[in-house]
Amino acid sequence: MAKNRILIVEDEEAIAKMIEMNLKVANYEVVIYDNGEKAAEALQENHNFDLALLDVMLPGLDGFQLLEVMNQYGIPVIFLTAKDDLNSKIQGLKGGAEDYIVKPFEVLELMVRIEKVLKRANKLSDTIQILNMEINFKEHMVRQNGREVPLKPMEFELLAVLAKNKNVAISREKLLQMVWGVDYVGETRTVDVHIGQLRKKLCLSDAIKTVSKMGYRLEV
Amino acid sequence: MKIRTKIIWISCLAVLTAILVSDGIIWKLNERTLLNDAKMKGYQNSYVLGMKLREEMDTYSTTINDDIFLDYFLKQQQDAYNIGIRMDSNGAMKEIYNLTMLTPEELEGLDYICYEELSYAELAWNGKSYLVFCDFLGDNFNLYHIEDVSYVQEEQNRLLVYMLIIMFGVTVVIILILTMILKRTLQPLQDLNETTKLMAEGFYDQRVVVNGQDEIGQLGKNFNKMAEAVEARTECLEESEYQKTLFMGNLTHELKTPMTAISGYAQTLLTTRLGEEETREALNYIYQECGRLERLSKKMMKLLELDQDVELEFTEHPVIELFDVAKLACQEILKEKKIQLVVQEQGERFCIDFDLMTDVLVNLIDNAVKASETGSIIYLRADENRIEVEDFGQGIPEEEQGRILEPFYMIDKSRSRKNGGAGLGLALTSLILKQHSVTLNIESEVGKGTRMILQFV
Repeated sequence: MAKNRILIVEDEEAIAKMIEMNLKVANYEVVIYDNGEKAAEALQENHNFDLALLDVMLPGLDGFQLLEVMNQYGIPVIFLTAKDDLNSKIQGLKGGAEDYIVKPFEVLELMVRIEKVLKRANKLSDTIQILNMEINFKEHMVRQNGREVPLKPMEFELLAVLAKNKNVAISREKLLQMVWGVDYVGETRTVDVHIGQLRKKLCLSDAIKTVSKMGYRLEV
Repeated sequence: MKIRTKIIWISCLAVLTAILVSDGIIWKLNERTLLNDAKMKGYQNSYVLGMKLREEMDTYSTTINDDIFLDYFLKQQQDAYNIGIRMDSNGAMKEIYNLTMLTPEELEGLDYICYEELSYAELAWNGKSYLVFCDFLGDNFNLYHIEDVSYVQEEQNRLLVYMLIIMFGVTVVIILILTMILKRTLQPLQDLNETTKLMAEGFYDQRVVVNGQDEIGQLGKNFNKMAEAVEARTECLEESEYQKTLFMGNLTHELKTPMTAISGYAQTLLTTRLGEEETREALNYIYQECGRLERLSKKMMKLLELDQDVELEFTEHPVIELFDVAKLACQEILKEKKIQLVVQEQGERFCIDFDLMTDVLVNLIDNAVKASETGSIIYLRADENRIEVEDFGQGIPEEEQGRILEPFYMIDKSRSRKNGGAGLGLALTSLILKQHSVTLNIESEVGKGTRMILQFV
């Protein structure tokens, strides 16, 4: 399946590049515009995007005007802006944006939110190919070299999170939160135990790295 | 108690006292006059009676011992208030003529006071007052004449009633007049009170209507003056507060952007496995954004410093020195866009703070370069009392001209940022110029160019 295409409209080059860097690592295709008007023009020719990340204060057209253009093409929108007043948030979300993230933001949070929006819009592929594995979210199944490997539900979820954020280190606390849920009161030991199981069952001792002080990372 | 009520009470008391005192005096004087008149009348009657008796006695050649004659004479007078009494040698009283209820003993027992040739006494009888005159005609014969003076008392009572009515009337009239006058006089005070109340509630645009030149009018006038001062000051404070909020909002926004980038790259570097090229790129962006924060904080510091009204030391400098230093500072950016900076001056001298004025010129030239096309020309001119920077770049739209001096205001945000601007340059410039008492005039037309004129006093 083709990579998800994400449109970024952001006039701050540094921020746009930073998001691009992270999205590329997470296997997305990224297009950047630094001007609202230019972005709108370009969309007329090619509007094959799965998601748009929009700044609000932009030269040319501003984010809210651009939101209407995105709505025309059915592209889900996440606002990414320094404006954190209630009115802007309400205007953005009522206008049809899927999410509203205020700068400065956590990169991992942005990635998770992007994923959630794509999932809601049914634009995530059902399977991820990674290393010698094929992870199928629909069937809740992992095949290694074409052979099915039985995993417990929590082991599968953990693998899914690591695979979706490949090459990104995620702390034990974050993993606990993302896999077991926000309210789960557990020890980070739980994470270590499940990681151990994954390494054993899928022979991933080398691929799942322990990053000192940071947590775990699935390296490809 | 209201001031009006107080004044009315006090005035009423004063008027009542005055009327009472004068009434008392008049009443007393009147009583004395009436009594004197009555006494005179009684005396005359009594005297005439005596005279008449003597004449009659002469006519009829009889003496005072003739009781029958006396009785006849008195009867003839037909006056019930005439009494004739004779005292015998053995002390017994004999009423020769007496139609009254008074006994001779009673008459004898009164306290007589000598008056001219007669004597008289006061007598109260049955609630009425009388004067009893006594004419001693000799031979133990006393001729009494009683004068009824009750009318004096009646007269006095009537006078008292009149006085009370008048007093009451005068008081009522005075109260009415005072109320009316006070209402008119004190109305401005009432208005003033209302207005003060409104002002205390925050409606600073309230004023009182001033009429008259009296103290209250002056109070109103001064109150309006005060209200104006308060309003102006409040507006000034509100404006300054608004500016501060705006400034803080802008500052936060300007801080958030580089912070987002720095924090994002740091997180990426910490968590993500990046290639060497990407790692360098990320570090480079962090460095670049830190530089932006540093520039921002430096300019902020300068703004704060200048805002504290420090006393600058002005010294006289030839303008060419200033131009040379500014030109040198802008050499790089001029070369980059191949722009020619033309200096025109005739040895003028200006009284300035050299470093700050250099900052101003560098900033203006920098802006001019940013607005100009590659290969164009910028003029730097000096004149008797002004310095100007002229470019032929894109110009400033008229609606933006008023705002470009605001901190963080940028006409083209993304472009200014790419050029490393924070939107504080002109704000700084205008502050520096304010300290120099120099006005900045902007003449600009979109597409034609801009002239920034520093007008010295």
